[in-house]
Amino acid sequence: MRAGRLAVVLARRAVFLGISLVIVVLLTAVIIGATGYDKQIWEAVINAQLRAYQMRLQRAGYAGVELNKILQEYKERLIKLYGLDKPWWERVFPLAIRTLMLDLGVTLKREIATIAGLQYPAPVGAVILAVLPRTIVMLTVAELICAAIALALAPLIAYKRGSLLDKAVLGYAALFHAVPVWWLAMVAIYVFGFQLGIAPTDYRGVIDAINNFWRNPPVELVKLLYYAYLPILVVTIALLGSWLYSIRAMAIRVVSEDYVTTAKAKGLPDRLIARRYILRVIAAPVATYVILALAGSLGGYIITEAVFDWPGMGTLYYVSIILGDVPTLFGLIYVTTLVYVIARFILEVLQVILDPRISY
Amino acid sequence: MTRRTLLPILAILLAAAVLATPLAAAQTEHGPATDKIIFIRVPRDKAVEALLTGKIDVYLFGLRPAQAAQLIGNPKVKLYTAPSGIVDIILNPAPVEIVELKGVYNKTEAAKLLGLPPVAISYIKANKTKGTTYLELCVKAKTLPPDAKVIREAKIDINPFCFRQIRFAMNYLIDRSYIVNQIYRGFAYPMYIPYSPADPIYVYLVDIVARYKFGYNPQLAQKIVSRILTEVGAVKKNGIWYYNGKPITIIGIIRVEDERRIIGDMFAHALESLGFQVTPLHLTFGEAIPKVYFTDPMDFQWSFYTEGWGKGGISKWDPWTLTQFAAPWFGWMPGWGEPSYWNYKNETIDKLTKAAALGKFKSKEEFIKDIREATLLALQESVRIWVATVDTIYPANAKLQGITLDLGAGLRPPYNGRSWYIPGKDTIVVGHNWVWTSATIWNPIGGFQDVYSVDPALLTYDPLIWNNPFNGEPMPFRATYTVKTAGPNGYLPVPKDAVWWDAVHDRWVPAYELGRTKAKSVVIFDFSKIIGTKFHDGSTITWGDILAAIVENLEVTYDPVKSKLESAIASSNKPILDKIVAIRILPDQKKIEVYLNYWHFDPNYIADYAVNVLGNGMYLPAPIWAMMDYLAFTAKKYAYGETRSEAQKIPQLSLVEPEQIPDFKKTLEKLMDMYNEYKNWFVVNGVNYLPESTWKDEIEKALKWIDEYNNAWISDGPYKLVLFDKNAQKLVLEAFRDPTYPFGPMKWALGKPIMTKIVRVLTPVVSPGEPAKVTVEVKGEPPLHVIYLIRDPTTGRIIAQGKAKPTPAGTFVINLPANVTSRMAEYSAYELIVIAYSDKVALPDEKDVTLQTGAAIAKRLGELQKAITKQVEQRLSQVQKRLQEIQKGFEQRLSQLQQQLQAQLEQRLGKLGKELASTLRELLTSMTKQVTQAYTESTQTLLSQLRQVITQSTQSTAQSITSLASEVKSVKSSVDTLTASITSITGSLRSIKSDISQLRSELNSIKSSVGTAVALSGVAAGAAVIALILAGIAAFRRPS
Repeated sequence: MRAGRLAVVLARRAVFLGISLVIVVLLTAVIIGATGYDKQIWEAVINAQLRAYQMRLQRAGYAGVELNKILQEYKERLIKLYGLDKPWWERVFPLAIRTLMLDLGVTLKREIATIAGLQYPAPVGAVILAVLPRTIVMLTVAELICAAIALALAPLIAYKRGSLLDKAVLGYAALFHAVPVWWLAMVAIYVFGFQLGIAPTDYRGVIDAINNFWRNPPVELVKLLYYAYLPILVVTIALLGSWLYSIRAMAIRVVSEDYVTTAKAKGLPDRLIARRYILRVIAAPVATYVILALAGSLGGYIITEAVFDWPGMGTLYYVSIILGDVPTLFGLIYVTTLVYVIARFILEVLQVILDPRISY
Repeated sequence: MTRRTLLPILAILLAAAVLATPLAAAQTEHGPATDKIIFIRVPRDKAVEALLTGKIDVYLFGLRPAQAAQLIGNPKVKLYTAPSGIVDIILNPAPVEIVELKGVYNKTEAAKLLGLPPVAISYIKANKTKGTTYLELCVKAKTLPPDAKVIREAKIDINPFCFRQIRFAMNYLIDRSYIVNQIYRGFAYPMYIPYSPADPIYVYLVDIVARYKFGYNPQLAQKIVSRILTEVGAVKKNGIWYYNGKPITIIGIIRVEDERRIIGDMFAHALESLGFQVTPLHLTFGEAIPKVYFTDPMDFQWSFYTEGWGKGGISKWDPWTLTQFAAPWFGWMPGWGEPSYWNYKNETIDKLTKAAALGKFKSKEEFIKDIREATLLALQESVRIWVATVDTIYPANAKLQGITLDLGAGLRPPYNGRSWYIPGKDTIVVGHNWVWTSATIWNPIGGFQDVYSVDPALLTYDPLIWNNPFNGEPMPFRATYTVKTAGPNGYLPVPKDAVWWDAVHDRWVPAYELGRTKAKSVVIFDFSKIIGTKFHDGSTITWGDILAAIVENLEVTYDPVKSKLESAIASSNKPILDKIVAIRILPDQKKIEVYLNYWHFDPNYIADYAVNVLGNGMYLPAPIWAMMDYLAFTAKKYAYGETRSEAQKIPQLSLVEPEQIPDFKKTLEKLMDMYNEYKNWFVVNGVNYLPESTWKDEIEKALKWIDEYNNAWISDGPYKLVLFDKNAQKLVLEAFRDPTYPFGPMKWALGKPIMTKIVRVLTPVVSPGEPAKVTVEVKGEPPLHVIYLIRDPTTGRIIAQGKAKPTPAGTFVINLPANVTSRMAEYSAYELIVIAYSDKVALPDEKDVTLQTGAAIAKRLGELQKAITKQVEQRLSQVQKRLQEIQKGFEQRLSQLQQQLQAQLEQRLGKLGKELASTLRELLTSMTKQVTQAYTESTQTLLSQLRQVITQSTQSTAQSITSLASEVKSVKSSVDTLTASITSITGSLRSIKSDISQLRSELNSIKSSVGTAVALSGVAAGAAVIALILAGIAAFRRPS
């Protein structure tokens, strides 16, 4: 009975989350279309292309009526090509709906294809699939490492609140909270790459390793690690402080509980207390933190990616917004929202498993 | 020889071989100087570190000035610069109201009708047929006649940048010197016109620049702005300009990505200090472009914008830069040629630039005249305020040798790369911003639109012609040529065996059959360095391969179906290829003639135009051309051009794109049996230049190449493309050392241009009204030229300009004739602008020196001469007068003395000595006569001598003055002579004085003589009396 109710509740949640996904995509369509954002960008693109074409023609000797005729034809073709001959809802909503149906279309900007390393015009799905693993390799892996270290250390530190280790961790967290990741990345490349020569200075090779990973996994893994170890290390160092601090904060509330004091009085080993009496209790909020952090890592880090010349999801987001590549933007918003929706659903399930107080 | 002795020898030989490798490579007869060139991606921010740590040897994308400044003085790195960017501030010149008046009026009449001063009308055009006058106003009309029609009205009442005078005054608000030296850290040149000093044509405009040389002078700008705004009724309160009670506002769009942010802020502050209310908008490229270029200027979404432009290579006779930046017809002036917007108008600039850009000139002089006039007008109009030409800074390993400093392209190919080497290394690593982007397309018809493809590709093929790196004039590269022309008005006959491609029936036909019987010019290209040499895959280059390149170009342009599919390429190519009349192959001589209806006063430009039909040396094996044609037009899987690619959502064909390689292989295999479908490409006048066996052989070799290197870029240049890894952003070029390759390693190491340099300008102190000579010492590549301008810095007026004359000594002399120097004021400083340039190297040198004027010496000397003569004459006359008085007095005194003496004698002697008295009288008379005569003679002699001395002195002075006047060069010595003469005159005067003293003493002596005579006569008389007494006593004693 309980399982049945649970299934109904989870199904209801899934539906709500699905509706949220649809609403997000449709709202994005409204924002892009109704504000004239896409139109403005496309008009700029058309004008730029027209001017370049006009210059070529004029240099070739065209002038007057003949020139205007050719330019007019070209302009009409471009207007039709970019859909500016239609009202915004006709232009944007079909795209949004196609996106929901997982037909993400084709990118309209060369720069997007460049990020993905694909020839232009490239399908948006292929672009995201090409870029997403790069972000996972650098950021998600780093987040996972942080999570593992924080989960192992933070309850212990919280338990020994005020100790030297605790103070050191607090200092570390405060320091690296203030240091931007991209700055740390620059310093790391300078020191380990250019000065010591033990890390690459050019990280483009990682794309090749990721793209061809399944051709020869052992070899490509070595190659991947060669390119990825420094970025992962940098991101881990930068984020670990926050992770430790956050998990420690969650644990501290539990540490002063009577049952922990009792366990301590019983003479149980510290590690056991930390794991069984602290971590188990804070498992639900920690799981929420971890899953949302992992989901969030898929959004990428724009500047850090630029520093490592590691074109991931952050770069893709940035370029598609700047250039107004609507299909890519829809694709990204859709994928990111989908990841969050899935993460939320997983959390719903985990909450039930991890928190005995929750019952349906 | 034992093994023990052999080993060290071998080791030494091995070491020597290793050390000698680069040197040997550099001295190899065929191919480039270095065995391998690797291109890798290095973002600009990492370029300095990459270079300093030896990851790269040269960086081709260029550094920012701040980055380059870090490397100055670093012994590991050398910096090479080439001016390749332009920064300007474009002003919105739109009117605030457009009115049409009934009736035909001139500016003054129309202004009166509208209640405005004439300066408020920015544009006026009367239509006599319609009987109307069209007016654009910088302020809204005060009164409107009832029949007047307001065509358009802006939301603001006044636009200060609509006034030409205010726009012009903005030139004084830009502190170009600060911008160049501080913001760009010296890696820039100040700029005043659309052309920069690096543009070869600049030397013909340099006097215009000098004439309007704008110093930073905000006070002058303030003065001009105040005059205009006050005239139209604006008022300044508390330092802010108001019009119709509202402050005059300016919206400045300032780009934030580079140094333009500081420049824009500086300009905004300067405008604020003039009294305008400035709203600065700091925007990125994406935000700024739509606001400026895609809005109607009359919407006033912007008032000024900090523009930045890139510049390509240099071209000796370039009309396009001016056309693009100043001529409304080209569509790059405010309004952007968009018919629905208000557009800036200037019919004169349009007319002049159209003539220059579209080849409607009959001589070099006419071309230059058009460019000069249009430049001058553009400067006066000042819609764009030119700020600086910015250098691209190429850093390179200090050991890198074989460099050519291209004044347009810097260290970029083709003059660079071929001859590069580093002693001790067989590989050179080149850093570039990208190696691959999705716009990096390697196809010869619609690709090569970015530097990332062009730069490496230019090392893999040899162009037929390329612009000279130092002066931008086209020059032979792989093919030499001769040009014959009957232009601009005449025609040459086209031979019967010349042919043209019939794109409808796909065959070569005799040109005369198509009515192509005459052409203005013919260019005869010598292909002996191409035909018979090898492609990188080992196949031999034949006329068939050349014909394939020509045919595919013509097919894309003229084939009814293909030209429609690739319409953007076809429409750009057509007007150029329309001027090509025919080609003729001369296989025995390995020559090809191109007949064309194109003329230019520089024959190299005719040759450069002709290569358009020959693909300018980008040759590939014929089957590769056929493969591209098949994939683009039969399979329709790929597009040549970007426009078709976007429209049809198919990728652009790129011969290095790994994703396209399977299609290439499949197609080539298919083409193996499709020779007959392409045979017509190679048959000219019944001669087949590519038989089927060669076709198949080339396909086999191409397939082998593709298998080996995973690309289909099979070219014929000094390097072959052996790796293109787009994911790793890496590209490897390997030396092509085939013995048929015609050039050696150092063929294109042209070094640095010998820059023209003014060593010294020797200026005299100019005497107004007298001719003057200025000597200029110049170093540089002959033939050198020197031109000059003399400018009055207080008024800005040009006093003189001209060309200096070369001297046998190698210097130049600026002769300033008397009529020029007479326009100069005494004791003033003038600006002498001396510009030296070479026909062979762009970038003139300019030196501004001060030309000092002194007194007008001739005039002054004349006056002095007159004054001295007058004074001398006065003194002489005084002396003469005095002498006469003395003489007269003397005579009187003498006469009186005589009379007194006589009376005394008569009284004393009485009756006793009548005879004696008579004797004495005679004696006295005789003595007096003698004394008088002696005195007269002495006086006359004295006066004559005096006159002579004075005359001589005066003559000497006159001679000295004449000499001085004629020899201004030795002014100092002449002045000394003059001083000496004056001293001589003074001496003469002293001598006169002494003579007079002498005279005085002589007179005294005479006086004393006379006294003595009187005394003697007294004594004689006494003696006589005594004698008489004694005689009387004796007579009384003697008995009678």
